Amino acid sequence: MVEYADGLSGALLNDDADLAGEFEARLAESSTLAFRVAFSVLRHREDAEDVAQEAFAKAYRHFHQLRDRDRFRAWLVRMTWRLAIDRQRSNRRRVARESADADRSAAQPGDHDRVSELWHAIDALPEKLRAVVVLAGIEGHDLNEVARLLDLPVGTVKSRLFAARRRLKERLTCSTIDPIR
Amino acid sequence: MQHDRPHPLTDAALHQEIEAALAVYPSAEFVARVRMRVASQRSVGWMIWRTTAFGWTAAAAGAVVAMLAVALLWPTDRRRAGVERDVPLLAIRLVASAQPVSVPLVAHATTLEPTLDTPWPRARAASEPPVLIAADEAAALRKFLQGVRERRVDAALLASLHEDDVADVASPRPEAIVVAPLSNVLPLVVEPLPAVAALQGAVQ
Repeated sequence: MVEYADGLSGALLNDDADLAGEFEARLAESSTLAFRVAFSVLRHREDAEDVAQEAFAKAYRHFHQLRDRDRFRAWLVRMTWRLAIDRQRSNRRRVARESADADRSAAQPGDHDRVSELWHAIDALPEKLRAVVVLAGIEGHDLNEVARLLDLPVGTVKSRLFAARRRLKERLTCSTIDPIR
Repeated sequence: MQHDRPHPLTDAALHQEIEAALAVYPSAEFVARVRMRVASQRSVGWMIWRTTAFGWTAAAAGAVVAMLAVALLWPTDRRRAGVERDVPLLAIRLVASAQPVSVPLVAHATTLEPTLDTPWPRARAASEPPVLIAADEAAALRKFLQGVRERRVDAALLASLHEDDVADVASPRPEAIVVAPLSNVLPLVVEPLPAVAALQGAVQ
């Protein structure tokens, strides 16, 4: 009985070690991706790191339930996205931070204004289009990779990306012509 | 304020702008922090697993023990009949009082006597007090009454025996109490005290 218990706990420990090793490899290859996804929603480094860390912790908790380990990145992206959206909704300090950013941008006009405009335009997109345009904007992601991450057909990704870019161009062009908007 | 753009916003230019906006990297400590959190979670998870496993094992063992205890201690009809056979309280009282026992009482006891083949109906057992005459005691009582009826046993003798027993224990009648004469008691003699003055002089 004792031998059986030892064997069982040893097997569990081995499984746990294997799981941890595999997760470590996933963490190394996906940490920047999770951070960028969170940053695209929150646009605050510390908050984005917190959310990405939370997403990894959650992913680790449920890692043993993930049957297809190749889908880890897509799984992580979805979790990070949802956590970031939740954080954005619940984070009331963001208002104060944005006002501070506005003060800073007023002090340094130029490229920062352009980036702010771009982010505001991206924020105005519906969530489906926003996810596509952000993931496509992350370096090294082609349509196939975006389709894999969002678990969508490539054609759907392509059409959504087209729609998103059209809206962004409209908004950015309008803001360029009419600075009041 | 109007920005002068050297060329119209093409898909490529937009893509480039988005890519530049997203070219951010986490801090150097980020991965280390994630590793620490995962490691702490791993130890906590293992501890929780062990506690949970132990808890479930203990709970299951407790449940099995409780079920066994209930199964062993549950008063079944057969067991209840056995217990009642071992406690002949009413029989003891009936025999000790030596009162003439009416046949219907015995018959009643006989009819209520539990048998192994016919268990007590639960409703009846709950509403009526249990009869505490054991089968062997009831048989002995029946035999005794039969003997009295057939005059093989002298009930009067038994009654007188019982009266003697009662007389031994009971207090005597007042007229039977014999008071010893007081003439044998010697009268008390009180000697006079010595004179007070002589006593004082002696002390001084």
